[in-house]
Amino acid sequence: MRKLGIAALGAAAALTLAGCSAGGGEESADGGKITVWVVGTDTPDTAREYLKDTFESENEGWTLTVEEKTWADVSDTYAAALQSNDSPDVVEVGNTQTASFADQGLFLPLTDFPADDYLPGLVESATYDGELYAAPYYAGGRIVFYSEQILGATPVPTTLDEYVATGKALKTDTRSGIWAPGRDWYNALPYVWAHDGFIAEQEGDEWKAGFSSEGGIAGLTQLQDVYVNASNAAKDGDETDPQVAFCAGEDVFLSAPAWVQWSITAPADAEAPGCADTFGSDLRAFPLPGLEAGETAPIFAGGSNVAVATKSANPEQARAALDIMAGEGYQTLLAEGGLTPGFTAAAASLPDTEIAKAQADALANSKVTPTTPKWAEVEAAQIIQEALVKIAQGGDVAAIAADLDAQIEEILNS
Amino acid sequence: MSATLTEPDAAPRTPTTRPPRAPRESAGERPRRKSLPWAPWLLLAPSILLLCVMVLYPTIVMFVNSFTDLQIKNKMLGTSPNFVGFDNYIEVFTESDFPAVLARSLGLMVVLTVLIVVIGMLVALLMTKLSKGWRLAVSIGLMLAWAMPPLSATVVFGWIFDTDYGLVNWALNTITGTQDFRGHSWLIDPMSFMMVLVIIVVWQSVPFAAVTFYAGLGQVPDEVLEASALDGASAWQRFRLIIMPYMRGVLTAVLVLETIWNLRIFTQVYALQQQGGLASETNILPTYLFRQGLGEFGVTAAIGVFMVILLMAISYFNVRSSLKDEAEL
Repeated sequence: MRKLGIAALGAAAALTLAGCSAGGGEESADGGKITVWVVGTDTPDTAREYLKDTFESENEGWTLTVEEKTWADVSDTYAAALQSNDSPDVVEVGNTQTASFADQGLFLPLTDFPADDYLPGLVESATYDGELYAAPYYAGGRIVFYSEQILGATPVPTTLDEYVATGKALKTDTRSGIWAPGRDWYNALPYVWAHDGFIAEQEGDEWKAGFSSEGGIAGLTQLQDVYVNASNAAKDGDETDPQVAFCAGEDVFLSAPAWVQWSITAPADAEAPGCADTFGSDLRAFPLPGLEAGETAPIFAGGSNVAVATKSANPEQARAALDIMAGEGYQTLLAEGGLTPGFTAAAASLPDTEIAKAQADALANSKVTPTTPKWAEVEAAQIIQEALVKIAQGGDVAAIAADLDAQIEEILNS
Repeated sequence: MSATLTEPDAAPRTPTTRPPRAPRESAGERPRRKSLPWAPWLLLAPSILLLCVMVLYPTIVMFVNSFTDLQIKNKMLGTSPNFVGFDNYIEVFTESDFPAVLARSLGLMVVLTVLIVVIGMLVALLMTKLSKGWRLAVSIGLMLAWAMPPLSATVVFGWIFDTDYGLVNWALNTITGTQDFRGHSWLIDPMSFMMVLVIIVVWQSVPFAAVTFYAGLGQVPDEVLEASALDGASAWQRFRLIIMPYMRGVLTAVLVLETIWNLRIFTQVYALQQQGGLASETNILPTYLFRQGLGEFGVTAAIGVFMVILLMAISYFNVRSSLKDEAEL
């Protein structure tokens, strides 16, 4: 009797453990789930639907889910997810980060991929140790948006100095001449590059950072002028949701990725409200001008690649999904959305608008961050952003730049 | 059955109170040397197992990792990491910004804990004086603040303190009738960042302290308070000499818990850093750990081990001193 009681106690106690039910695994040869992670809102909905429909009709019994991540997730959340047994199957990753993920063994190498049909810059960013680890997804460049309702009769600037001068002249207490939040480092790079500064260059085995080079200081000094005298944006703000200030009529010039045009021209009552009827109605854009009239400033060649996760439970189907995303049909939809497609031939479908042309002109003169797997560490440490915030606060440019270079060199040469 | 269950319970009772009563009890007490009471252990077994899996095992793994150069690569390729001795610890402790991070964490912990305990106690005392309806209203208010997920709370506070469109800047401009606060960034200055952080954390942590203290206040016998009042003890004397001694156990528990919680807050700091400010000048230990390089498991584990030791030392000191006090009563 007593023993029975004890056995019952044990059973009751064990039951409390069973409260945590076992998660179900969905393994089967002819059916299952593929998860695709895209980053940010720039992948158009038409493309997402096309991917899901095409994949599910070509693979009987399989379903595909597209999940949207933010750029802030790409470092830590990605690293954690990609090494877990619950890894997503296909992921979009920034072009500057691809090498580091490949270096950690998180991506499967892509065999038999027709790399020759794709943008060489993106293919290079996805190649590590002689092997291709990701398919080029899209490229994007930053262009300068403006509305004639605000710019008025002022002529569009033709040189970088004129651009800054116009921005300073048109700034009021409630209006930014140039909207420049301090942590928007992609928009800071053109100033450095235009004055012949550089991020980091390889000298033999050593990396040498160049923000404190003569050109780097000149560029950052001009940038400080913009932050302090032309911009009302938060000195420690980042570049998310640039359409908010623009649509409030608080920006004369807004330098932002080309796809921001869709955020600006969204209806005022959309879930993410734009201003189709006011400042978005006559939206125009030009490539950031360079030091001399008639040339453009070198901009950062932004872009993404897509890769198959090493830990994907179904690499074969994951590759099939990746092939759809890199294929002509899907890439054409990206082009129609204003993104420069990774698949070169799809570029013919780019809309024939002033904004698309401005982006193409801007991208023609573009540069990338240093190609080393260590670069992702520089981005994750956010040291460039922090240096820019200090510059935006009016700090000593030379000292901040020297400090920044030391930090970059320490990471790249470690 | 009931005898075996209460046996382990009786052990921690203070031994000093026993001797005087010993003569009366000694008759039946002595020969009780029973075999291990296993019904309680059987009941405890699942929890112990769960604790081993969820707490003990990760702690051991963290401890082991802190002496290796484990990377994501090792996990993905199935290779084993190298043993590097104390290299990770040396790397962390010699890092130029580590002392500042440590000092910031400890300072923040002290400020938060003091504010939470003091405000919590005041709210609890207030609740004893309120009428039933008001008490209910205050309790519901406390619960709402407590139930809000820290991330949501931080995002909302981030908006309130937003540089361009924040409520605080608008309100200050309206009150002062100037435009002085247009575009004022509350997060860019580390001290101001900490002030916003303290507001968020205290706002959300006071409910726990207040509710616990309120429960504790219920244990203070009314007749003692009444008697002392008749003897002419002032409110402050009653609080210091009667309520506080009765509340010592509750106070210790809250202090230890708040100390631990406040030294390892992460969500609020991290989310606030996303909204502005300089991460390198506002990091505390947990965010500093998180912001180490991608997959630097060795170094992060070393910071983790250091935090565990730090927390255990602080809690040990607290618990011990309070047990001593109790024994002296």
